[in-house]
Amino acid sequence: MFLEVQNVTKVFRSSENEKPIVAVKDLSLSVPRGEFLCILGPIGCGKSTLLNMIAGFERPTKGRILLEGKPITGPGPDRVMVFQEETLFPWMTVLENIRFGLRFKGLSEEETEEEARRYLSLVGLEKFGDFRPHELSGGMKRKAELARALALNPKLLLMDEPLSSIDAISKMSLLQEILSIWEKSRKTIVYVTHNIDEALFLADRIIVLTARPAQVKREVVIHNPKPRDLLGSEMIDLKRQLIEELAQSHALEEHVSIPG
Amino acid sequence: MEVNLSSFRRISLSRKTRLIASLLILFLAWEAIAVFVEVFRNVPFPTPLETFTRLVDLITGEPLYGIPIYKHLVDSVSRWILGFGLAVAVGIPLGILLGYSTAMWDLFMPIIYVIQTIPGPAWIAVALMLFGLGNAPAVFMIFIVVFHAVVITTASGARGISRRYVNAAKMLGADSATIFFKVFLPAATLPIVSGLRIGLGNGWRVMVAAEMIAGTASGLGYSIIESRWSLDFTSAFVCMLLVSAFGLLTQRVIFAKIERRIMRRVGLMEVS
Repeated sequence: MFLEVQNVTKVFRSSENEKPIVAVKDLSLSVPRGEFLCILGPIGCGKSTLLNMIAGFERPTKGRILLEGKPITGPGPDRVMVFQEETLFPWMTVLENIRFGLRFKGLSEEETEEEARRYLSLVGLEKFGDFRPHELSGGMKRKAELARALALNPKLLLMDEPLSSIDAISKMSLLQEILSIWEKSRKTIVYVTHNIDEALFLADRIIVLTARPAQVKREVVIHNPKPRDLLGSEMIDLKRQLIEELAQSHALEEHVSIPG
Repeated sequence: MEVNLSSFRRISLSRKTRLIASLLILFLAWEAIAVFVEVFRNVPFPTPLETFTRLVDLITGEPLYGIPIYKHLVDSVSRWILGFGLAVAVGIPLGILLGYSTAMWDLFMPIIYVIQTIPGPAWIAVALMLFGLGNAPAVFMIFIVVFHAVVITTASGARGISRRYVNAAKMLGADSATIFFKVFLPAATLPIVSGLRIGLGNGWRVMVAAEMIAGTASGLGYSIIESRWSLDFTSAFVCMLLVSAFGLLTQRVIFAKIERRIMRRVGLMEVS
């Protein structure tokens, strides 16, 4: 299996006196090469923690995560993450941002430039290479970030609610963009979201997580070809089921969070 | 958030009117208090008009405690700049170090917090023992208050703001030298500039207090405290006016301009 998460538990202990927080509990899942997997869960359920562990920013308290059979020990350019927050370097132009990661790949100057421009045009920003991030719209920033991630040619692309701060109209075009990039590159993508529509539009498979501590609640494989019409009866049916699953998770969470 | 600079400059007419009205309220309240004190306490309280007349006298060459008013102002500003400059020279590198390394933070930050809780003038005993009377103890007190402001703001800001950029750089495969110089330092610009802004204000206020107690024999603070003996309160008011005007000019006009330029340069437009 390409990516394997084996019985992973993550406990956060902010200080000695405080009660430890179990963010992820005994969670296992595996992802075959080339799959677009969406992890769907309520806000604060621990899905970002899971992604951070795959990226290598966090270590599991128990269990292990293997990429092509090798355990993950830290962050690296084979697993690039597109964060929920903006992480383009504001003091660099868009092109410099994309070149930044390429510098560590041992390419020549010309190759670096060529690669950077190639990925810039892949996301349709060829005219904006010399712009600073703060001069771009929210959606364009996302695209630039995507280009910077893809330019590294990672084995695995991790996306942590990348569209949560994007307005509804830009979101549609960005979803198309992500889909077409996936179709062109056939990268393995793990995409975390709490938005059911995003998951239905993108995923080969959806894993629904429970409220914290995160565990796998349900798994849905979607065979329908992409791009999908989210207003078709099949998709609506599926959406209804997923809403129910998520509502249960939410209700559970609310129940749990009542003190005493 | 992005700040639209052109709208920043084009302050609407009504807001300008309100600014003038605000100053008018200040001077009216001052006048009212002056009249009230004169009537009920039978104490001559300098009115705005008397103060401005005295300001003109002093500007046109009448000495104040044997020194022209310019010399008082220049001496105050020099002490401030010296104390501020030294504090920045030491404080920024230290702040960056503490912001970058958790071990260094754990070792030195408690000390900085201890220093922070002690107000500038309270260092008088230390200042006198170290430097005796005169310029140096005043500069020392200014140094102390600017120093902790710069270190704390730089260190804690750099830690917070830089983390996401540093994480992104790590993921992109950058080595630690590149992360430090190309990512951490530029990301720390924002807190460094905030630290400078806070330090500038702290230093200016403490400069006045320091001159009152350190035996500097010149300066705006010295001139204000001397009015206790000379009873020349009108001149003290002139000095207060200068403290305020010069403070506003340097912090709100000059530094704000520099700050905007730096922020634009770095592409961080979050001007707080």
